[in-house]
Amino acid sequence: MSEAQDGRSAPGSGGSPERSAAEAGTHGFRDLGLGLVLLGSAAVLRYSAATDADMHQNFGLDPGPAFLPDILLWMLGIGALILVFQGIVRLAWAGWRVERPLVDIRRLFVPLLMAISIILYVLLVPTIGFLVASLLFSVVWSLGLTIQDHRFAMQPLLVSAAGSLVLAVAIYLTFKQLIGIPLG
Amino acid sequence: MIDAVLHAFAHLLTDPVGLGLCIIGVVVGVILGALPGISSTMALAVLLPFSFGMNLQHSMLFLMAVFSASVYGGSISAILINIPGTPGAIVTQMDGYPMARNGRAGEALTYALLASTLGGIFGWLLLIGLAPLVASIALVFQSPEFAAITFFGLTMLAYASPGSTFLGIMAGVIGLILSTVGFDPTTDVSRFTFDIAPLQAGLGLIPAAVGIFGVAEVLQNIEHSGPRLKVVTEIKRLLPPWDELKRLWPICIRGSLIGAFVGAIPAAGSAIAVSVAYAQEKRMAKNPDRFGTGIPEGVVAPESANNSCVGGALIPMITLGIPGDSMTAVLIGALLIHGLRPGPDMFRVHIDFVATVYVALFLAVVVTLVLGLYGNRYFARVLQLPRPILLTAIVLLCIVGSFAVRNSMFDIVVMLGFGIAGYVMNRVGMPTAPVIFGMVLGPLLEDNIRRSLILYGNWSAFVERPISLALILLSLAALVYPLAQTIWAKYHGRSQE
Repeated sequence: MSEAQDGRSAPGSGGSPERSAAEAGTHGFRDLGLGLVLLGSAAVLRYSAATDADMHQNFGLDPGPAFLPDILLWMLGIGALILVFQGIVRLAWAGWRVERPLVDIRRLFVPLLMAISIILYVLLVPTIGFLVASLLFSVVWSLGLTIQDHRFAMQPLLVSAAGSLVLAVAIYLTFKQLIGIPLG
Repeated sequence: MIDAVLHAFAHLLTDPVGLGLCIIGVVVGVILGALPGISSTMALAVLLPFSFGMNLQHSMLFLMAVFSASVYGGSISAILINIPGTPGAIVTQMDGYPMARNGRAGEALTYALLASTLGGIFGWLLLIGLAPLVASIALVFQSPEFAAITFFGLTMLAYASPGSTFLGIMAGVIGLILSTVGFDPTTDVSRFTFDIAPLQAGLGLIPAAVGIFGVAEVLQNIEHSGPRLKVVTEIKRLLPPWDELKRLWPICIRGSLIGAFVGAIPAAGSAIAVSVAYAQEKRMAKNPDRFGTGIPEGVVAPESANNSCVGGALIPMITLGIPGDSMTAVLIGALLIHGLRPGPDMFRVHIDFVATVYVALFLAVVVTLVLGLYGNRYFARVLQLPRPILLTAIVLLCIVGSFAVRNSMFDIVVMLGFGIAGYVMNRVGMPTAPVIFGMVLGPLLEDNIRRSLILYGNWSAFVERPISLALILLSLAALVYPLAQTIWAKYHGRSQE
């Protein structure tokens, strides 16, 4: 279904056999992983809907609150099964080998740190307030990203630290004073 | 209608705060649009929370200015560093950058600006000409037609999203499911809340859009160090020769027409419009080989097309409540914050609002022209802004902006969740925009299907009413076509890549 639309080479659709097999393995792994995640999500939500008596009351002519979610979850489940099936076919064609990983794990490190730092920000705000949390967040991250770009060159580091401090204060003041958002 | 537009013009032109917001919106929009890695959608999503404290008129002026100006801004980086700032500028770089390398950077920027202005005016004319017509037709629609057109819009949006159509449709389904989280407005029964109190109000559209368009992009940007950009900083002459300018008018008009009509098709988007406009000019050229070597025709055609898309994309949004693209999906989120859901009733009940949209778009185009003529040299300097400061500021804006929607820390968590999901989806090649389309259109689809079933008692209304039937058949065709295409390709040995 999605091979042609994806612009991916399908098993047996041409190109060098080794390259096609490597790509099929990678895409097969992707399809299988994505399909399983979506299938799991559909199953959890379907179970939640099925066990919720309120959602399945009789609402007369109204098909009720479970009507659309039920249809959509079936669609998601069937779509996920297609992905799983497609993934298995591709992996089998590639000899169950995934030569090129879908994602370079090392690349995930900095985005993961960013996600963790946003969670920390949320946890810290009730204690230290928006302003201090924002200042901490912006200085640490602008310095970190400057080191990523320029190593430890002093001038970019100073510019980043100063710039991020100014921007954090500006964002805080704009939202609190101009827009009237109750930032603590 | 004319009275309302004239009144809105008079009101906004004598409103210094409104004009100031329009100017600020244009400046920020051009700057964000010019920065590589920041799409117009991201610019709009990140700046949206600033409009919360404004009244409806001011927020429309500000957001329209950001929307229109960011589309133009995309051409600056395309011309000066060979990286399109927005998807709509993807073709501009093909001739814009060679022009800049040939010492004509200033002229290329001016061509892009003039073409954007003319394109913007064309899109605006199409909007004011076509929107009332579409709305008057849509006024006779009943719930089956609305359900069918919502389904059609969603199918088209998922179908036209970049990447796999199948995954686009799956993403649209996920968005629809997410739109059902929280209290069902008809029966007050809570759905998929898992006893988490903040979920009872549903997943916020704005935090979701900010996460999926803003944070997801940042996460992708910080995976590795920033690129060392070769910026063409020497901008000598801004005004192109008059003879050359005269010669390019027809190209500009053709590009504008293509852009305006392509933009009006839900989901077609500026990337398609610019490709069509560029290909059309190349096909019509006496010497097509010159395209790609740095000729102004290659800048004017796509730039007029991408800006005229803005007006076109607003047509389905205002008249049917269906986002024409991801940017108008974010705009619908802004309107929901102000308690407005766009649709054909707008032309009957909220004519002042429609007039404000018309005027806001026109002002945005004119202010972009004026500021661009005087400020292009300065706008170009933003390409040298330090990436770390910019990315950090964007994340901070996403965090504070998400909180600002309902003063809820939970919305920051929702924003982060969508950011991570968007990042993963980008990584595995699953389109992200259909999730937001699904969240925007979900309540509309559910409400109209259920209303139809209550009124007509069964599904027959959807097939007995001709407009509804036609739209459902078109949607099914769009869903089945990729499958048929793949089977056809497999059995006839034709590559569909």
